Amino acid sequence: MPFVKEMENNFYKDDFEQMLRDTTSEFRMYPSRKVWHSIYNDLHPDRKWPSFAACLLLLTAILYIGVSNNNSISKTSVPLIAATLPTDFQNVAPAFTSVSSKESSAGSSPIASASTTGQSTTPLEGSKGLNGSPFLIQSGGSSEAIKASGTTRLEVTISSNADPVANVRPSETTNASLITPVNLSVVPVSTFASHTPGLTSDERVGRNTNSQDLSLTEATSEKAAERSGLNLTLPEKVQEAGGTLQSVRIQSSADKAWMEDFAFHNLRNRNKWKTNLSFQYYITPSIGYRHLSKNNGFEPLNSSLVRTNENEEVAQQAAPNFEAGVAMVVGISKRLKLKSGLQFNFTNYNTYAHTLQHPTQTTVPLNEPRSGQLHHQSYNTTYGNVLGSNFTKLNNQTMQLSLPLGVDYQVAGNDKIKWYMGAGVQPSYIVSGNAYLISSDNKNFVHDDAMLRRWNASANLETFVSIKTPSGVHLNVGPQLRYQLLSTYNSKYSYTEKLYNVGIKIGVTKKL
Amino acid sequence: MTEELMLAGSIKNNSAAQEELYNRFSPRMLGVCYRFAKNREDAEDMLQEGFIKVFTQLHQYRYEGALEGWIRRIVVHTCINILKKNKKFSESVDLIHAKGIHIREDMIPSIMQAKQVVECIRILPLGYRTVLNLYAIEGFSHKEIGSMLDIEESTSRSQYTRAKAMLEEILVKKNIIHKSRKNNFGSASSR
Repeated sequence: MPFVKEMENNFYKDDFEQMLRDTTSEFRMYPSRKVWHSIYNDLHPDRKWPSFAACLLLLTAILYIGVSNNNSISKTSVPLIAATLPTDFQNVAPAFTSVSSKESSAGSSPIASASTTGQSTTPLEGSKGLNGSPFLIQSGGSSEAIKASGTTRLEVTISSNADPVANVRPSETTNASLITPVNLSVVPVSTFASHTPGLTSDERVGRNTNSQDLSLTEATSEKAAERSGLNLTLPEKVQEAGGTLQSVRIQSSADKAWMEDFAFHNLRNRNKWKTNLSFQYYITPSIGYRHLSKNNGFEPLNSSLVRTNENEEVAQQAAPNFEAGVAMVVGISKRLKLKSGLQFNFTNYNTYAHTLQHPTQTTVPLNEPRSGQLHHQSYNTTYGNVLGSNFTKLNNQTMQLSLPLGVDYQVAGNDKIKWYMGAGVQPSYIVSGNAYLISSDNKNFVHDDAMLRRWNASANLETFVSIKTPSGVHLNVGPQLRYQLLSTYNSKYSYTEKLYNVGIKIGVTKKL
Repeated sequence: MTEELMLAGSIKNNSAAQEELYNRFSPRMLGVCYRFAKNREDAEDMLQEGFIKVFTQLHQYRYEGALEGWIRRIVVHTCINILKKNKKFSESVDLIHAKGIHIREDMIPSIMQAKQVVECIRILPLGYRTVLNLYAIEGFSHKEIGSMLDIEESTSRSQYTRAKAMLEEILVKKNIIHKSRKNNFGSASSR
């Protein structure tokens, strides 16, 4: 405890403040790179970092690592040693037969489990260490004892926390009395093989052909670990005591210090995602309208009703619409947030029609699906496009489910009130709706819901003010403009209808 | 890169020089922020704000005193400004709210060496911690602290006395100092 002594001396020699100053003056922590990137973006707004290419590279790297890790935890056995060690080494390693690799579900504590079954000769399978390196697991000293024990299953657990412990548990022993202490060494294979170019193959495997002892020589393992900068060789005695759990603890104080330091500087911030995540509930009452246009060169059959644009050919009126939903919002930087969720849309506008006393026959202009040529299909209808005393209101409404994907950018603000600009797209499925089509001669409306396009997409632009309440919930209020990207009708109909809405979005955002 | 080149480049908004300056001082400055912050993430936010101020005000540096000291002052002031935006902070520097706080053994983290002391400081209540950091480690006077935190100078003194007593208690529990010798320690000097 030299540190404690030294600190105590400082404490009583000087004063309290001096002691604190001295002990904390050398304290350093290493910030994540994203801090520098944020600073850089602030200082150089014209040169945003990371660039698209860097993002792409990062994404590729993450995918590659993900795929690699998936391979390593698959149940397929991969005899890593076979590629690393000379054949004669495998022949002198009878004590180890298989080591199956498994990782904890949290992914934080790699576990290597070894089982020995007498004379089998498959030495090792892969397992991952702290740095992702596979481990060699070796018996040091008493391999004969293991051989003599018949069938022994050893489980070796290497934990990456501040106080790593390798547990060796003989869970299945046919002849426990013959078990004697076994030394286990755990060495990252890649570290050993690739980072120690100066070693001969004998040095790498620590071969001792005379005694058939698989352990690395002390000098060799220390040498390799020193060169690699990572010492994970943990030779310890394992005592068998009636089949109970045994532990192998790290003896080297340098190892322990390194592990503690590693753990301290690599503390998992469990709340990181949590603090970046929030839920948003919102509703946007709006006024919805439409814009109608022809999607081919067709002219209405009744030329007397032709006006300057299609929207004047029918009496139509905007109507209340709304959208409501829940979204998960992820802060990807201090100002930028991504959001996605589930949303229900109700769109509507009204057209006015004269109710006919008797059904009348009319035609609707349609496009041939293959050739795109115009043809007129006959329909019976009771709606006339001439307003009189006996008119009815036709609700051109749809109900949609959509998966909105959007981004919000904080333009300005402080802790209490912030101003955001947002944009997004909303792929939607039209669950149900009414479609009233204008006839070829513009004299009638025809009700045919089959003409509705089932899949559609909208884009929205919004700006809102977010106010933080004392309870920590954010209230969001602001205008929204929504525009339907594809026609309400499918491609068969000769008209294209685009809906647009102007509304006020009201929402609450709550951090997880 | 020499300090002069680094400074000149940073003032000219040269990103390489700025990164060099950041890499050189950010680990120690994050250690400073960490003593004030609730967690590492908050500390990184403080560091980010602090360095943006450093870079935007770098042209005001007059080469009087060490650059690190100048940066440290800006970072500390940034930490305080961020803390002051939190309503809980202003309550925590009020003595009434700070009374009756007891440190339990399980609250003391087990981290090694110098980090032990930092972690012990970090488990102090926010008001205590801030005053102790400013007075004992950053070297501000109680008058300066009073003005920085919008509190009376006497409040700063009282906060510090209590913070010190509590920290001593923690250090004893942690076996960093011994109980018998704790009492030998004199009263805090006053600046």
